[in-house]
Amino acid sequence: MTRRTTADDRLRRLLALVPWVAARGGADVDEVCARFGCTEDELRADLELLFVCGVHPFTPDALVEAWLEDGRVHISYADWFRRPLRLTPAQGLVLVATARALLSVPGTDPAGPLARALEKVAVAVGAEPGEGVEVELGEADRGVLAELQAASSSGHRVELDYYSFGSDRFTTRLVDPWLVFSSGGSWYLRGHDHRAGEPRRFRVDRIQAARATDQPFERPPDVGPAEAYTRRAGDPVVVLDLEPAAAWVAGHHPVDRVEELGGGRLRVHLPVSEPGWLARLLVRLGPQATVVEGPPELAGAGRAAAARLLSRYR
Amino acid sequence: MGTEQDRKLERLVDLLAALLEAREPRTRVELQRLVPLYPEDDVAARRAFSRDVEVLARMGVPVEVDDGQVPTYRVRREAYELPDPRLTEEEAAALHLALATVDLDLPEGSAAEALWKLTGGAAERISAPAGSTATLPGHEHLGTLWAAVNGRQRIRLAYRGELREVEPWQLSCQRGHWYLQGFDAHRQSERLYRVDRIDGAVEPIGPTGAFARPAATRRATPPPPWLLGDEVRYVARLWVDAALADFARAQGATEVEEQRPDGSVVLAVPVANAEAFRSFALSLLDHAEVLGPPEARAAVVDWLEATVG
Repeated sequence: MTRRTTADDRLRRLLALVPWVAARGGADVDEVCARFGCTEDELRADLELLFVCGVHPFTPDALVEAWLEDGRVHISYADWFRRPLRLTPAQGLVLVATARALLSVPGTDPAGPLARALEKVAVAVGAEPGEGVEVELGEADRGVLAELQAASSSGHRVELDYYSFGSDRFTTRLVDPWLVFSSGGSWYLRGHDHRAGEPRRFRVDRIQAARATDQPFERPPDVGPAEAYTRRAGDPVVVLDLEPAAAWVAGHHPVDRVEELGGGRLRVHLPVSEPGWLARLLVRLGPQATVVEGPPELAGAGRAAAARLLSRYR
Repeated sequence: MGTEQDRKLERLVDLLAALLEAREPRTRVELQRLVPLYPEDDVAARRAFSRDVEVLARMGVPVEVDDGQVPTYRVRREAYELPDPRLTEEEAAALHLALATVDLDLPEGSAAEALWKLTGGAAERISAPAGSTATLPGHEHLGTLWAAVNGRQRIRLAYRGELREVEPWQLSCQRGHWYLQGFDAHRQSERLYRVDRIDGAVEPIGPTGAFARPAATRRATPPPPWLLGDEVRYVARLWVDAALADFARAQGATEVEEQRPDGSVVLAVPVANAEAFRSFALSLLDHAEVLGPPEARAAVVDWLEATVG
């Protein structure tokens, strides 16, 4: 926590904590602190304050009673706050979309606890169960995805038949499946690639087949970020000037730096993992992007690809 | 003894209690008489009061403001209180686990706070299972759109340079983007809007419960970007080689016009957004060629010439 706690934050916590404690006729201080993410001192300060809260004319019967005694929290006469505040629309969406997303993953029981929780939550937030929001985490062969997830959680190496978009080749690799994740609407596998001798990321929809082996692997404590692209120290950087129509690049790809050039134009410092990827991006951006700086083999990548393509059309 | 923050918090709690307790709407002056701790000075008190109301509204307190000659304020209990979903322990744990596994970051969409309200938080820290996570894109309009979908309330939004009135039916997250499916009132037809392409604010208009959603809203099919437009301008013919034929079809160019012996295909692609189609064709690099119609082919050539410079 780097941000200072504000009065709003404390109010949000109180409005959830008060009905929870009151409904139970008291609760252990430790448990309340663990559940509502605060320290005992913070809890004490909030309760002391709550003790003088209430409604006009602030006679004892119109005040909340709240105190801490022998490691227990007691709250009563807080009838205004007998129930928690409704969820904000965004909170309702986060819950429903999250549950929907997981239910779309192979292996989740469509009638299990999560599905039942989703149905109840949908009612509580005023949504019609089964309507209003659909989430797809990515296109992938369900068999391949299930095989990877099973191997990752049981800790076994997998053998992959993989098509690389960059090199345009099929390869078979042995991989320690550290993490299976969805980002930007695609599924990825991150793990140690024994063929390359280093960690790699694979798009699941380009894995033609996955076979779990009986060889166990150790998952390192830090498996790296669940991101579609991971910045590697050695990745070259190109500097691009983007017209307003191409400004989306700054939000869509991880960039090291963005500068405003005025008139909606941007200058971005873009790390490049594969030359093929950059060529593809530059051809798509066409005259909306200008390479200002970068290693020669990358700076000319877009122009070279465009010239090559043009010869086919003439 | 109390700090400035303590005083502010106490004032907010008292104001909320006074709003919840009132059977009739109350004016600011009435409320300030009931809630001590507002500044003596009227201008400062007025400012502090409207700030407090804003704080409460932002956290989701349904403050009804009647903007008459003298504005009045109230909070209806039934609108304030979260109905008890009566989750079993197992269901609550499943929900905590889901929220630890899937990441969706929205303004005013704190998952931790939502779980406080629904389940009283978790007694023990629940973290994502090793080996699996997911991230969904966030967007500032999603909360407003979701409220309008659930409330069946019309919205006004600017999209592709035009102001539109839409009956919002459904949100969907596909291919890494959020879409709103709905009925365009002016065009009298069903439309799909990409949420991150909405210009500016989304404004709810009129009453809730204003329209009926069609029975079982058809699942919005993943819209390839070149179909995001108001009408199909032409059907393009796109040749794709054997290596990327499946990939191209998985992107949404599903109709095969011709299967060639070498494994390459000619796809028939209906295009409503020519820029998006050009971008798709070019992203396939040497693996693809736009065969026709002439205007689509000419657009690619012009673009490539401009790129070569």
